[in-house]
Amino acid sequence: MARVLGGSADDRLAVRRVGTLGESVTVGSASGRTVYGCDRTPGGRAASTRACGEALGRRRSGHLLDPRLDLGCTGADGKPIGFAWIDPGARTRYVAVQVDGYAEVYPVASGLPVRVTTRSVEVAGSRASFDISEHDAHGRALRSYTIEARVAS
Amino acid sequence: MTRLRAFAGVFAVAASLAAAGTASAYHTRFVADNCNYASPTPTSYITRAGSAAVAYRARNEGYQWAGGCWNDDNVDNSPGDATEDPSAGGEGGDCSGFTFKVWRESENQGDAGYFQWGMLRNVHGPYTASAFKHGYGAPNVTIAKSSLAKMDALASEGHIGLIWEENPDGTDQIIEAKGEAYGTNIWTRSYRGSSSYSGVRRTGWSS
Repeated sequence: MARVLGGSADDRLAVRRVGTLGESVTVGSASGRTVYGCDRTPGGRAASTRACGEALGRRRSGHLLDPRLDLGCTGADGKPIGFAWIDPGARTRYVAVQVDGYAEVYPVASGLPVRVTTRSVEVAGSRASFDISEHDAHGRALRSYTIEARVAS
Repeated sequence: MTRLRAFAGVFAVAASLAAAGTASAYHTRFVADNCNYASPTPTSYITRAGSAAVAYRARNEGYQWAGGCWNDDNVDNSPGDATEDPSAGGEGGDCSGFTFKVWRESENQGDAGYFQWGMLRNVHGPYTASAFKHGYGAPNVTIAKSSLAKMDALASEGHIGLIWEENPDGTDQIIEAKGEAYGTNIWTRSYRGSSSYSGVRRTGWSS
């Protein structure tokens, strides 16, 4: 599920996405050059924080330079959950991610990258993989691929 | 006209895929030829002087996005790596990977223990600069800038550097993995005076 939270005085848009493993908020800057993400799962976190992970992404020519993998969150079972952004293609209207044998489908909203989750986390190596498919407005598959993301600065 | 449109459509998809991907045409052999994945050595303590020595040996050893492997020959053995491409395989760490190794942290975010990683051990760790800034993970805590000491850090949402020495004018000498164009070294910075930067400390220094 995705919900556009609306703009602020400087025209930044925010999109909140709720999935089965967790939820995230993606905020785009007015310049379009950066996006900011907050991640949240049912797992433990510091008492003073609502988010278990945060990310800052830089965009060039409208595309993210890096999916900005975050591994700070855990599920209710204490196992790590990875969050990363998917940069949808121009015709993509839905991004689907394989999770635990089913697919979570998120509509593309407000031109922002889509933040998705995975359980396919490799703690030793600080990396995670995401099985993605992109679909047009009619649900037709445009492309399928796997992103192997690594934690970076 | 129809064929031209079809070609243009295919080209646009290909261009979009290329832009959306993280692969780069430039790769080096540094990591493949020199780095290892050996287990770290657990230690019972950590000192600021010891970590400073680890940090100092990374000077002039380059920078690699998502990286964490370097030798000690005072040369960036893979200059000009593609920026923000973890598959470039070049020498050096990025800012958060450099900090992780200097702070001798565990890949398990719930573990605040001390782990000595070899220079040539290719490891980045689970923390981004943003994660460090917000004190995520058992070994990391946020602290007031007025309390910063050598080997504590100043971190923003996109960068982290370690205090080397505080200057009388309120700036600091910061040892940091700055970027591909800069490598890893010590520079005078005004991070402390920037509201974008917060103080961060690794827990458990014995001295």
